[in-house]
Amino acid sequence: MTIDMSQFHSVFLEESTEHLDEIEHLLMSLPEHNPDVEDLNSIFRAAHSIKGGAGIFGFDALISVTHVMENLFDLARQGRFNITPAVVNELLSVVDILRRLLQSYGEGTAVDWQLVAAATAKVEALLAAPVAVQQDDGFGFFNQEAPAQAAALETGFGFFEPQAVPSDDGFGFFDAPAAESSSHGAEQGVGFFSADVAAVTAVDVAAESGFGFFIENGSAADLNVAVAPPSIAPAQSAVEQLNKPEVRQPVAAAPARVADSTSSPNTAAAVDSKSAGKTKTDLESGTIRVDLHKVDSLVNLVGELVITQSMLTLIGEEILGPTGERLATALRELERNTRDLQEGIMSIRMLPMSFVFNRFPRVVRDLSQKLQKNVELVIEGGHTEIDKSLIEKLVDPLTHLVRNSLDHGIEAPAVRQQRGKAPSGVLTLKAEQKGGNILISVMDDGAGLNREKIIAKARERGLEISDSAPDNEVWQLIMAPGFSTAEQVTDVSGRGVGMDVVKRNIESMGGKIEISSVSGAGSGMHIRLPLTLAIVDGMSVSVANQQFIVPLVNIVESVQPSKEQITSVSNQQMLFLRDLYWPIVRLGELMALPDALTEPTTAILVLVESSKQRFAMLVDDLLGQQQVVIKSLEQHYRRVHGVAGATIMGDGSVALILDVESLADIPTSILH
Amino acid sequence: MSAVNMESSQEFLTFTLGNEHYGLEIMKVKEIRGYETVTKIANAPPFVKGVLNLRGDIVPIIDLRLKFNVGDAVYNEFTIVIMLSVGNRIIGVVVDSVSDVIRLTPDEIKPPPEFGVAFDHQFLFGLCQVAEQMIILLNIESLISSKELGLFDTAEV
Repeated sequence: MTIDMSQFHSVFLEESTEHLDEIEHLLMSLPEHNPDVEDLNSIFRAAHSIKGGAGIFGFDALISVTHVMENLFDLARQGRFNITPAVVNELLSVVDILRRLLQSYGEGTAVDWQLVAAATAKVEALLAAPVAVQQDDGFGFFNQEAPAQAAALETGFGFFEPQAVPSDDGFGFFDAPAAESSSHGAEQGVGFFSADVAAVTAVDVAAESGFGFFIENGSAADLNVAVAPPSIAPAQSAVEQLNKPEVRQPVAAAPARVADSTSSPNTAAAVDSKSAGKTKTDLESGTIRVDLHKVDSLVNLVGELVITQSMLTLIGEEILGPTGERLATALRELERNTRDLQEGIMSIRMLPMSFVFNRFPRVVRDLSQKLQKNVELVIEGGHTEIDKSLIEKLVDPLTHLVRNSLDHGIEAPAVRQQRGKAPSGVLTLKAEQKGGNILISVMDDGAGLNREKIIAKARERGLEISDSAPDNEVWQLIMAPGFSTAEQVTDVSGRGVGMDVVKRNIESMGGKIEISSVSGAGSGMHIRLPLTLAIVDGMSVSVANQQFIVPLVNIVESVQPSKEQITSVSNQQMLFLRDLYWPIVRLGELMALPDALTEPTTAILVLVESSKQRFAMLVDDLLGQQQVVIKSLEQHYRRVHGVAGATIMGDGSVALILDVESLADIPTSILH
Repeated sequence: MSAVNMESSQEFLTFTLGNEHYGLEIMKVKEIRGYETVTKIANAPPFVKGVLNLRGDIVPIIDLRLKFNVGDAVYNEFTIVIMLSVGNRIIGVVVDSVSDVIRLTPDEIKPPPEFGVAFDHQFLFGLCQVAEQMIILLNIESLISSKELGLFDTAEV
């Protein structure tokens, strides 16, 4: 199976840019003492998400940088590392490097591994440095260890010399912009860490001094302009683009003294800058990001339009004669256009789950290779349509779940064979619409969750749990922040951050996550999401002149029974059909509609099946099959038992969509 | 009415439930429309008439006459539904008729009585006298979101 992964790049890049923005924002707002653990957790999660996504696409440079960042924040949130303003500055520069890396991945240009090494080294140096060293000026933090100290002090910076590296090789180039910008900061005392300021200043210096050495800065500036954070208006970056060639001329003209320097192609830097600008524009014209509220209001407006159109059709039928015929033709045209428009607008919001699922073959392949496990990925229900806003939010949680399953769930081939299983594990990704929910499952046939280990670990972390707690409660523990039973932290998983993030993300979508596990046979994570705006194929039925929609997935068949097929078992009427007894449930009774038909032989029985039980639902009549848009009752009212939502019918009236899953609970509650 | 009074005064929509006159803050009113057939909701309290489609939103319609036993809950061509926006929610309230919009200054609003009206005093905003007519001003927001009506799953609005 080959899948063009590049179609997902832009989404990942956008998301990562947002994560970086968040990290940057949080870093800058961290107080000097006693930073909020929640904030540190958020930074940690953001870094983790970037790492996870980068893993999917094999963006190794991003992985290695975010991994060390994670290490640092893990220590920080445990209170074992003090985040001083100097550290923040350092980390912000690492964020800037991540931005550049994202940019090179986005444009498909070669990754500057020196950047990666520099960034990793920076963070590692921070980790190695004695904590709580804080000098009065806040700079020179790392001078003690920097061999390049003399040079650094001479220029008055040196703050950015975390490494034992001679300053004239590739690393030197970092020192300059950073140092320059820190001096800026010292003067102005404001947001001096904007990458753009740093880079542009560096270019200025380069232009003035004309050192061939600074050609690298030229290309760095390229990247920087292109990486302009989203907060900067396009207009501004355009201006910068315009200015750039002037600045660059002397640089580009400088003799290629460092032509053999290791970084990305720096010949004809001006051309680079142009092509960089072009790539960016191309990307922008391909997709636009639109506020979902705008789409929502379009959806509603179109719904109104459909109703108006059907009203017009009704009126049109009353007009006879030649005018009437012409009107009828025009109305048919209108109807078709309206439907097309409606479909078009709905399709903006709805995307098949395969959009998410198709990212995973690569993840699974890479990870299983890395972990030396054989894993077969099975994808089911990729056509299930789901709201776009949910799709975007599902990517991170699913990535975590898949990684967890591969790392912790599925055993190594040797172990599997010992346990009498096929050496190759099976990971199943499944999406289906169930009742008023969309159920997305990540299932493996691995070892399952280890109850004893989880309880022991929970106690170790001070969480209270009794030995006799039901499995459900025990499984929920693994979603506590920082919980992990893995003995070793790898860059795949084991930090105990994944499940925490997953739970949060799912809850933020109004969903919940259920865990099933059988020791030795495998585990499954089931994400249950509400249908905020999904389309359901339904059968429209009537009971006492009121319409209801029964989701088609639940319907087995509909029958009008003969007298012989109805039997009574302990006061419960049953339909006997093809060797099966179906308890008869009167929808009119459940919905408190006294005028409904009650005699099975005169009414219609809709045989429905839920995950829990099956029954025959007695309705007055079948009206027809149609696709309906599920609208939330809870938005203005509250949840109603047995009802998944409501929909607006062609005539503008409201019909309730039945939730067969919870409807099945009602009969027993009535009996008792 | 003087310009000074305009500043601090508030406008109220007055309506009737049975023989009683009520007022509610006009800023909460989204629109006023005639009563139309609603879609019933199973196992809802009787005063929740059902839901209807308000331009794509599924909006519950409640009848305070039923909840508080004022007047007769009749539905005819004069029956009015006041659509209210309370917080992020939209609720339709059935009333017998809508009378007027009045402007009141704070000193015209008297404290509410603690008994003698259909509503608990915590849902009352005050009383006022307009043209020999006593008008009971409702704190509609606290009424709609109250646990007593139980319209929402949680207390928050």
